[in-house]
Amino acid sequence: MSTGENNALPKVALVGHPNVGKTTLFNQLTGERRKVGNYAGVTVEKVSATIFTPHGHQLELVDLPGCYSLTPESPDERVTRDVLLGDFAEEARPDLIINVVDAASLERHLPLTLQLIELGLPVLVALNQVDRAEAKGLRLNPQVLSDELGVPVVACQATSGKGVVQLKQALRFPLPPAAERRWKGSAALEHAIADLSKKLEALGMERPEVHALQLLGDTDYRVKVQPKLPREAQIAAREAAAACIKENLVPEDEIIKLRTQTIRRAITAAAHTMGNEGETLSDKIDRAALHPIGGWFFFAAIMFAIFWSIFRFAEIPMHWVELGVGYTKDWVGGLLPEGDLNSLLTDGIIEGVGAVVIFLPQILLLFLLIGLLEGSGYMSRATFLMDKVMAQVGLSGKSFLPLLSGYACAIPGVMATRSINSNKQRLLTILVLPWQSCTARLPVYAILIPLLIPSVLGQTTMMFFIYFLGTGTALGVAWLLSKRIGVGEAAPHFLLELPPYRLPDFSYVFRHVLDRGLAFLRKAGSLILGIVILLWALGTYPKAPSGEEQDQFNYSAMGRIGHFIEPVVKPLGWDARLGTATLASFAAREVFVSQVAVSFAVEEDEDDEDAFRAQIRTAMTDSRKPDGSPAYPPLTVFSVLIFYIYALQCLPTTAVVQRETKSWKWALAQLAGMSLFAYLAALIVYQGGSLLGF
Amino acid sequence: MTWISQHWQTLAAATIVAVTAVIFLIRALRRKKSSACGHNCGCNK
Amino acid sequence: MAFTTELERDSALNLSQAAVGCEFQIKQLDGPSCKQLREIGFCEEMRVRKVSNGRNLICAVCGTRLALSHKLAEQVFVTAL
Repeated sequence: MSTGENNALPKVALVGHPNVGKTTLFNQLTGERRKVGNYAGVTVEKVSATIFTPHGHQLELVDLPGCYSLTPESPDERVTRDVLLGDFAEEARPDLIINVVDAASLERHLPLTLQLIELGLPVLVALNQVDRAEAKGLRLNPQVLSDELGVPVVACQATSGKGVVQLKQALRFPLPPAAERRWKGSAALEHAIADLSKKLEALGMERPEVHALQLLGDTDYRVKVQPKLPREAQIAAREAAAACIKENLVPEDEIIKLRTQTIRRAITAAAHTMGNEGETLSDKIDRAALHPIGGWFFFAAIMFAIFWSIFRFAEIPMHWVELGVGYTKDWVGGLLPEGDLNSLLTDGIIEGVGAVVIFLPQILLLFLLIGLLEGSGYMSRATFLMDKVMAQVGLSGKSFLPLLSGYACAIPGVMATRSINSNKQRLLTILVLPWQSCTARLPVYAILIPLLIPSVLGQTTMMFFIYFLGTGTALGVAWLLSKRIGVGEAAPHFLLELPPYRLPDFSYVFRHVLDRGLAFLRKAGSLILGIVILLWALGTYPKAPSGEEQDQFNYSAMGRIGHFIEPVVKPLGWDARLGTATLASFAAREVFVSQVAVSFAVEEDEDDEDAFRAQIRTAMTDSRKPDGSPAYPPLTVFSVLIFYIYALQCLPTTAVVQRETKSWKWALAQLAGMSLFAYLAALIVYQGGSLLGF
Repeated sequence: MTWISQHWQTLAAATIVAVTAVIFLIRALRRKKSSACGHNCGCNK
Repeated sequence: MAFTTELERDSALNLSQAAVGCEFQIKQLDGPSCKQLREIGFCEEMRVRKVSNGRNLICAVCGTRLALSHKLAEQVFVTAL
């Protein structure tokens, strides 16, 4: 978030279509400095930074979410619209808009430019991709365009940095004057606008003419509920529109026609095409990537490559993390004599933080690969291909990227759903997302799978099966729910831009991944740190009398709770230890492993995670029930596995779901529903398996 | 005095635990309160 | 902006029916999603090339490729060039 602290700084907003190069330009203008919201979705973040102009003035630069027009189709476009209209209490209206426009595609971009000009704010047009336009045979004259539009126009090619200096120079003070509307409508239309403005002014609305134009130009803005508008304003607008229609004038249509005429005139004056556009390199690649059959192979190959890379390449940094945590633990442990504080610091805190940090390499790698894919332009092809499949289960092709991100961590996945237009599809995606097996479940799988299957090949197959089960259930339940949620809503249409393939902006992607990593560490580290401290306390007190340390678990508060809930988990084939470990991991899955270790009094050996896990497994395999049979037979282990695949054990996720759906009802329903589902699934597996004789 | 010097680690650990528990309580209560009023929509970080 | 008769509308060629690989000129946008279509770049008088067919079809407008569902494409009326 950008406001509040620097009220004195002038604010400049970057506005433009998605994929136009806005963010590349933002990076060119700001260099290293930027502030990002936590866990924002891929291309829907609100990013800001303070920069100095060549003249020494300081200002705040904000990168607003991409939008095709000021009549929004999705939540992030709504944010841009509301910020620009000044209806956002927490965000000051910008003092200058830099409208980034694709020179190769002016006819598509200028409609937004005109709408921005009509806001009555100073506008500066950054005519981006001039090199690409020229390569296609387009000759543009920025000066003429500037005259036609009445606003300064600066040509640039953001990817090479060309024109960026001129753009910065254009940010001189005083800022250019507010732009003026370029067209004049019929007498009836102008009259309607003036009239409505007066009425809105009387209602005490700010910028009445701007709002009047927006209301007359956008039916949804008039008719649908808008949290940022007073109802009387909408009523007045509806009356004004009705009056126009009586005189055979549809305000939206006429406004669009007038804008189109203005754009045509501007383009005819300022742009000349030379030659034809033949098949581009992108087209050639797309012949394979979008081929009805070949496209799927291409897609599968890319997805396979991503997952293989993650598992292969994350191992080394993960090992470094393990070593690091081990050294820290030994060092701190050596500083104090034996005692509770020592134990809290080493077994409790360093353990707990270590358990979180160990995931970082995998999460970063997955985000990196997804970021590169998105930056290259392939992601929209994947979305296009997946739309067919997703639509069968009531989701959108745009659900694909959030669901994919869910394999790393559900939280950014949930936030990425902001780009989905349909509320119903968005809600469905959010609801089933946590069933994408996230990296937090991996340590649990790493302990349990080898207990079931000794061979490496078998274990890998098991992993695939697990991912498949999670995703399959997610899609299946989405299909079921889609019949019952929001049935009345009209089916939204699929409309997607396929940008040309290009080299991803590496510095943007790296920085993006770094931000995500830091945000994840901050948030998870604080919550998990707290939980681990509390769990340590529950496991350490009350203390077992000396001589009976092996039985510490049963004496501790944790153990007593465990025995209390044992009847509930017994039908699943579990005992008190598993019950407490699962209970403890409800706030964060990673805790399962340390909790099991603690309950067996296994000393964690950070230097050798494999040996540590092997020790836990040995303890589990050797454990016997009072009657001598194994305490944790394969069927029990399998039932735990099934539970972890399906349970939603991540309080931060529930918190983010609440925030994104703005409803505790859905967030808690999801938590309760998934927990119940997990319980029943484990129950069925255990009882069914027992009956079958496993 | 000797009791404290003998058991200072336990006291220190217990204090940390208590502080953590209190922080959680405060955060939980604050979250309930802020969701109740319902404004604050749409501008989330 | 709409066609004057149902007959006119029914006999006009829409983007969904158009042949793959050919260039067309957009004559009219008619239907409930005109606004959305216009925003993403379909305008009257514009040239469009149809790249592929299917449940979601792909076309090239103004140098950019766009994918849209065939229900949306049915609202874009074109003439062959």
